[in-house]
Amino acid sequence: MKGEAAKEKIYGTPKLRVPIPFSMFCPGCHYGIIVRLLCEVIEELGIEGRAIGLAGVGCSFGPFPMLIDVDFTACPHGRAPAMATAIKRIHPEAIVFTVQGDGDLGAIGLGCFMNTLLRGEKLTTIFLNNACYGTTGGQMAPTTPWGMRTTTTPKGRDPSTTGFPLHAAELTATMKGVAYSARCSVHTAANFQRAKKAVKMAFQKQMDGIGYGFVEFLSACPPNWGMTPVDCLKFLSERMIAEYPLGEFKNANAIELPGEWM
Amino acid sequence: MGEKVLIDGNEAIGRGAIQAGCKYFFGYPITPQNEIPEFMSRELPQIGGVFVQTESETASVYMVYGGALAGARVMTSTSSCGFSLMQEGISYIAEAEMPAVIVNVMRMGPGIGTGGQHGQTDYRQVTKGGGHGAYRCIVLASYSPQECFDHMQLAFHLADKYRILVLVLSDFIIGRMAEPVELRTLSFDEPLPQKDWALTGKAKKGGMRRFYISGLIMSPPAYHQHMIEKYQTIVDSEIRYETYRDEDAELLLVSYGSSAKMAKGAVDRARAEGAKVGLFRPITLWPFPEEAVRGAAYRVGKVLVVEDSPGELVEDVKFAVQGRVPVHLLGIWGRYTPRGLMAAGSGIIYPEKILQEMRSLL
Amino acid sequence: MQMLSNYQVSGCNAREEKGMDYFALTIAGLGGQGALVIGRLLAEAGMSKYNHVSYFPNYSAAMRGGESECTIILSNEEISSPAWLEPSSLILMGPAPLEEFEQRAKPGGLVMIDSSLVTKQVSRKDVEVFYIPASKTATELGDSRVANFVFLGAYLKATEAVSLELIEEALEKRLAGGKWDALLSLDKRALREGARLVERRQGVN
Ligand SMILES: Cc1ncc(C[n+]2csc(CCOP(=O)(O)OP(=O)(O)O)c2C)c(N)n1
Ligand code: SF4
Repeated sequence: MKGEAAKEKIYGTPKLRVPIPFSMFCPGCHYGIIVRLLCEVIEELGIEGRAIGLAGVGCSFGPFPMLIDVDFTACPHGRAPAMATAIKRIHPEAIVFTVQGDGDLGAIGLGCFMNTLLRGEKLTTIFLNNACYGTTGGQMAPTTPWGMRTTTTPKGRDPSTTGFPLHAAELTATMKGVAYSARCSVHTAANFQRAKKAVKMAFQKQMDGIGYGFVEFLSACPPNWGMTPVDCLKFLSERMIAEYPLGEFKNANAIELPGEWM
Repeated sequence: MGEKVLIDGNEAIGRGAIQAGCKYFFGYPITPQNEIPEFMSRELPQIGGVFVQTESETASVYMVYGGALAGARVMTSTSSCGFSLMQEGISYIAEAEMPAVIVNVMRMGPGIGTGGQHGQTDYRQVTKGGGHGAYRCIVLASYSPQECFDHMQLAFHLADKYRILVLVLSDFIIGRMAEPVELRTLSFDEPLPQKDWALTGKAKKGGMRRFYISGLIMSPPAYHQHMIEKYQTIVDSEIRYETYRDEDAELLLVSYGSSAKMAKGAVDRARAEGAKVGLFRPITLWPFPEEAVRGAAYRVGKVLVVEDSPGELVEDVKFAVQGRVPVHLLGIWGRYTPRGLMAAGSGIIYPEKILQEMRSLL
Repeated sequence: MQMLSNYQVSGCNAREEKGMDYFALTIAGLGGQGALVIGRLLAEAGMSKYNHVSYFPNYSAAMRGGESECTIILSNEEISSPAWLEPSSLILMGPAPLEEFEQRAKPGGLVMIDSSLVTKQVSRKDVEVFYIPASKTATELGDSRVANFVFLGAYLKATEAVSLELIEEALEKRLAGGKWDALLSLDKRALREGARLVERRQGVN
């Protein structure tokens, strides 16, 4: 019986996962696993009635709103944090989260994202780092590691002309209004469980009214990396994690406010 | 009758918005509309509302989008440069059919402006759409602080009625000039649709969820067909304009916003001199009162458009009269600029100049 | 400069507005001179006497400094335009080019200039000119910054557009709370002094 339940938990479909009979992602893409993870976390935290999701432009744009059974909207490129800000300010009791790719958050929307952190909003962001622009065909993203070939860095990313990879989780952790920042992956079952804890924590910080919660996911993109799904796992665990170490960068139980401010 | 207070057009915008039940304002500083966010930052927290100073007009417009999605009456205000930056978001708001209000207190363009703050050079952008996608916004052109106050209430009403973005167009002169404004509550005798489409969390909608991934889901012809019909309904029922002393006129002025103020002064003075002139003032710039302009122009026989611009409104007027009536333009060259724009009193097309132009045409 | 010698009248006596119910006044000055302050105050005070008032400040792009002007219209009829190139009264507070400004005076209108700043004479013969040593008077009262109130007092004496008492009431409303008492009494004295300057001239007339 116990075994059955465990099996159910691992292989069954989460209640919030909308049953769509075809895959909305490429074979070997990790986004689908992250959808599942989000469904489980929202369910387990019991916040499905007040969760509102916002997806950026990228491969999360259509699928995340369609697949996760909570109020959801797709947003213009890079602008989810601004829209989330307004929704949260209008419905402070709602649990508002954004799901954004690395081009969406790290390039076109970096200013929007950083300013949302600066304002100390109480939101949660799931950041999808697949080292490239997935939707548009694998161009360089701010997160592309050095030397990696993309369709706009045919000889590999060269720091002398294209700069250095963006370390979003570390950067986010430096901001005062942030309560939680971590980097995770879902390329093994153990990592999936760790990531789940991190996402829970990132939501919890918002639920407790403490501050911003941020979780970066390393995610495979087989067609654009030009690798089989299995090779992707190897690249992820060797190259990606070397550049982007997993772990927590900030976990604050309170954000101190200056006492006398006038 | 409501209480009368001496306030300028900018403050009237803020007060009108609050009168309309708007409690959420997102904005970025830009002259000459700064009095609006400043007013809102003082007032909104006192009524349980929220003021957010954004990092850019891009952020402002997306907060407006998000706020409208959340089901609240929300707004931002800006001036020309910032309005340009909002175009992308406006296109998205139009696509999602979100009800919201954006105020543009125009200043001279293109670019940062040509040194002055006066100007009516956003006509084409606000009426024809600066963003992509063949969308429409209702455009209300206010010409006095009282109208600014009233228009904000009308704007929120129309936005909710049609699920559409409404632009309220003001300018430096209207924003700065003060007059006693009656703080009246306008009542619109029609029910507004429920916002059951809003993102509030499922629990508040009896467990029913809403999700949006744009018009990509609807097939393009069906989506546009739906929009065409909606826009036609608005054209059929929401055109607004004012005519002034045009009954027996031999020359018809057509003007909007602050220029219409000056034009009205010119009409009064010309009438006092015995000249038969009248004024046609479009209030909705979209939908444009095309038929009404045509009718008035045909009746009068001669038209003079007055606008502080190289000539934008004049295009719509010419289009309306279809070449059958001469249409003259007194544009930006009609401004008084004795020593350039830094001199006091400069930058205005004064009524005296309009009078002079009228005399030459009569 | 002799104070009295400045009180000369050029051209016709054109107090056409006196006793009428339409006033259009433009006050021009440099940023900081307080042209807009008295303009707004006049509009506020005018509200209790006229059916319609309008106040339009027009200034250049810069936040401070630079030239600025405002136009106040008081009327019992609806006000069509809030600004005229040739208002019926013109107060030139600053040292801006007189030649340019006097062009804007309406024939039969009223022009006031600060004779302690502008030494030139108005060349137009078809307007009534008041040479008011506003800055000098203000300095004598203890603060050059109240020259604007000297002008306002002078204008009101000359036109009787609204009473000094109405202005003082509006001023008291603005500067209520005790914190501004010193400023309030200085403003009032400047106002009265401005009126007295015109009164004295009218006596001479
Ligand atoms: C303003 C704007 N510019 C460009 C695009 C085109 N575009 C669509 S998806 C995308 C890249 C998204 O990349 P990323 O955020 O990394 O997400 P991924 O596809 O990898 O999930 C771009 C540039 C757009 N939709 N809007
Ligand atoms: S392109 Fe990449 S990110 Fe997009 S669905 Fe395919 S694998 Fe996933």
